[in-house]
Amino acid sequence: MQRLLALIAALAAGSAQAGIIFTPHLSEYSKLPHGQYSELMFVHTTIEDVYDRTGKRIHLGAPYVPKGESVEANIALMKFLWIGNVFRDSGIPVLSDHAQFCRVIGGLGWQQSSQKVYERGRLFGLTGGGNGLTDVFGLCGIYTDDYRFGPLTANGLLAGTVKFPVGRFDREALLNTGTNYWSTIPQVALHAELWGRLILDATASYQFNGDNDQPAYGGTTPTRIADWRTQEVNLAFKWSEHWFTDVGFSHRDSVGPNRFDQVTVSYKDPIPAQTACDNTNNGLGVPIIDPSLCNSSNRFYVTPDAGPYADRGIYGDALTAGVYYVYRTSSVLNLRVFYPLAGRGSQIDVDFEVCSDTVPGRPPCTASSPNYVSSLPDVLLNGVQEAAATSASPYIEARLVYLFWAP
Amino acid sequence: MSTVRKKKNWIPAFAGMTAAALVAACAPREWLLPKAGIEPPALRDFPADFTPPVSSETGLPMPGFGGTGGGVQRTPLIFIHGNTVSARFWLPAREHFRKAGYTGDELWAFGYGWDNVRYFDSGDLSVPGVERIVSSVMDYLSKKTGRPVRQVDIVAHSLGVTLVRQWMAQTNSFHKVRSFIGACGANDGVWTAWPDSRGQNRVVSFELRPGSPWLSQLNRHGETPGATRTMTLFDGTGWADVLFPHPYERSGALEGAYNLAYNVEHGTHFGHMELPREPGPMDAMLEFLRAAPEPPSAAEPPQLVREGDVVRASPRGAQVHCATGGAYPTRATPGADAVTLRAPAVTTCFAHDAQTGLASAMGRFLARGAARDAPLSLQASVAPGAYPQPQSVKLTASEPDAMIVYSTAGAVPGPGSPLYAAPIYVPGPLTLTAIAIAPDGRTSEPLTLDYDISLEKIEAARTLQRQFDPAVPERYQGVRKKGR
Repeated sequence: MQRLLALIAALAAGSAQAGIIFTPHLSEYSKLPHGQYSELMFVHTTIEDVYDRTGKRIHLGAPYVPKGESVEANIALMKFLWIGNVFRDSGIPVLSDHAQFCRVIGGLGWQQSSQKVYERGRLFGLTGGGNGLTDVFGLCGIYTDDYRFGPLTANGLLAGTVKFPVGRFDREALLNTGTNYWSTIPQVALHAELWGRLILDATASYQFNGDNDQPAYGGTTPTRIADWRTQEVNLAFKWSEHWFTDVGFSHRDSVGPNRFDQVTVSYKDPIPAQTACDNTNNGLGVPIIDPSLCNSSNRFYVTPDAGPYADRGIYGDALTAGVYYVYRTSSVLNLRVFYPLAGRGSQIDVDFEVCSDTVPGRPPCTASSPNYVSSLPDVLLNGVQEAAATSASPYIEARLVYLFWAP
Repeated sequence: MSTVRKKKNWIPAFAGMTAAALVAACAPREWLLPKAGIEPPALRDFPADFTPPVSSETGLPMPGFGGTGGGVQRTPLIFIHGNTVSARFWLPAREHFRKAGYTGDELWAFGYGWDNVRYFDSGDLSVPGVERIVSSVMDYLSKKTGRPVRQVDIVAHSLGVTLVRQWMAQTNSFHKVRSFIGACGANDGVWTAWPDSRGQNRVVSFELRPGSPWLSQLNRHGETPGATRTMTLFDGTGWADVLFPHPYERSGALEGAYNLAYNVEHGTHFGHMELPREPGPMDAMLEFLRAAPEPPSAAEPPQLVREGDVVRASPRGAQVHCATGGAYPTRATPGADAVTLRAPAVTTCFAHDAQTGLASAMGRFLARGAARDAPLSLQASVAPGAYPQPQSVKLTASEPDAMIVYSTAGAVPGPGSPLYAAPIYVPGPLTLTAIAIAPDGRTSEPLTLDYDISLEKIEAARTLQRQFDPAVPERYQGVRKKGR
């Protein structure tokens, strides 16, 4: 009769998908009965605000996109968890008497941009949302012994997660459901219960990120992604066998800056002089030609210096609050709100050269090009996608955890 | 750190690895390893000359430990685990009891069930397994020591508590258990059991849901029958043991037992799986076990003797303890040299020798009535066969003053078997055997009924084909999947 409440979730510390952070839930790291568990999680967010590199909350796409525009992300994650001990009778020290677990997480994402965001991307020949399979997370780990100090019980776990970059990754898209770089995440975590009513789950992890040799959205996703450190804590209270509530805090920061080596963002088609003079319509937030040329009949295009550039690193602090309903012992329904408290997003200063569209074939624009017009130093561009952008908008999660074997 | 260059090359390899990992994770190794020609590893700490009993659930020899030497100076102790675990659960207890002086020969545990959270055990399905466990230990130690081992002590946990109680009742084995300690048992049900449960947990959920007819049957005639000393050990706070929240916090207690709500009494917070394996509660168990006298090695158990309408114990000096109306007599029932039977009540008795501590099996008696020639017969309201849901079987004797006794353990019942008082609840596949006993001593032929409460039958009835065309035959072969 080992059917204890199984309130479980990702076991994937600090991972992010499309700006959505996976944070620990109630009893995330508790030593559950051996068996198989499944989980279905839906996350929805409408991102209207992000953090800039100074930590200021700004509206999405500022200054190129007017306030009120947004991107919308919906993710359905399927998770499978196995807990057992394959070494149980092997006699191998440590492994034979400590349960192990493995988990696979994958899903589907559907994302879209509002009109102005999409139009700005189209100016550069880029697209808005990206839909499809997410990356897959695989993790395995081992639980520690149980510890008891009077009414306080605790256990720990050690885990390693690998993010397999198998999700859909479109180089032209502002939003992607895959990432195109590998990550490995060693993690330590703690679960503690006081009187069986107050439940603490905490974790610290370090995410080693691989390189992305094919950055998206004109190279505004980093190519050399900074590693991340994550510390998260979740505190829950058991009101009854059926009802739980929790609050959590998450801090994530990059170790050093993200680096961008392949900035290629440039107009799909040369733009008219009037548009080039208009900082709200040319997509770069600054006039790209001298006002004396605004009445020119020429069209203009830009070529960026590919880099390298570095941002100031990113970080995010957030608060979570949720309510859980346990149906029998087989199902857990969970609603949760994730609210960003503070953060820093990725922004880089990119150098552009501006040329008139007067040379056939439109060769890359340099200061020595015959059609060279001017230089645009330090044009502010926002880093995008999960490794660079830090959302300042809340999101909601709906989870269903199901145990195959419970009544 | 690694870098992706041509990520698509990884997809087939990753998909294959994931599929293999999922198969390995989903399939229990007891199923998977034999497919690969490998015997699944298991705890088998038995002497070479001991043949482990066969599990009535798995059909395989039970894993476990016991008989590892040191001799037998005290009543052997058998640990009975709960649902979804195995004998390994008791390894910390073995260590603790060894330090307290028990020998390897005196400590036994067996994995009677599936040892897997996917395949639940149940009381009724496991009763024959417990019978084999106790018999095998008694037989082995009797042979090894050269003297009859007539009693054992039992410490049970969780599902094991109601299982042992059901075994003692259905096989009339109260006298074989000197002391019984039930830790965290669902004697009045457990909140996680539901009457409409699915899959492998159906039978145990039918049995242990609060208010279930199965528990009513188990408790109806007394919760601590016979001379067995009984102790219970449970949380009592309603918080520490998540299986017994309010209002089930005293489900572990038994009327007539030494009931120790350990967390309440000691201010501790031991959970369901911890309580029977923590030093404090185990010391309480040891204290309870040590308080029982050890029977002299040459002592013989007393017997019930009927002379006319008088029941007495043999040999003289032992006493009979009797209760009327179907209730079991208990240790608290006053003893007497002899008891006179009064019509029409059923009188239930056991003989107990205070000097040796040994007792007889339970016996039931009716005052002698006028002799009749008509054959006594017995009928059941539910024909044997396969049913999708639990059945309530009403038994009717051809003579209303006859008493009906029955067993769900597959054995032919005797006069000390459970007394029929209400329709018998059949939650799972079992063989129900009943006999009627008339006041003049005539007995009916045993009525044996095989019932199969079958999830497979439900599945066979609900095939897609049959949903489109109910005329399609229901293809139920009567072959149950293991663990259901």
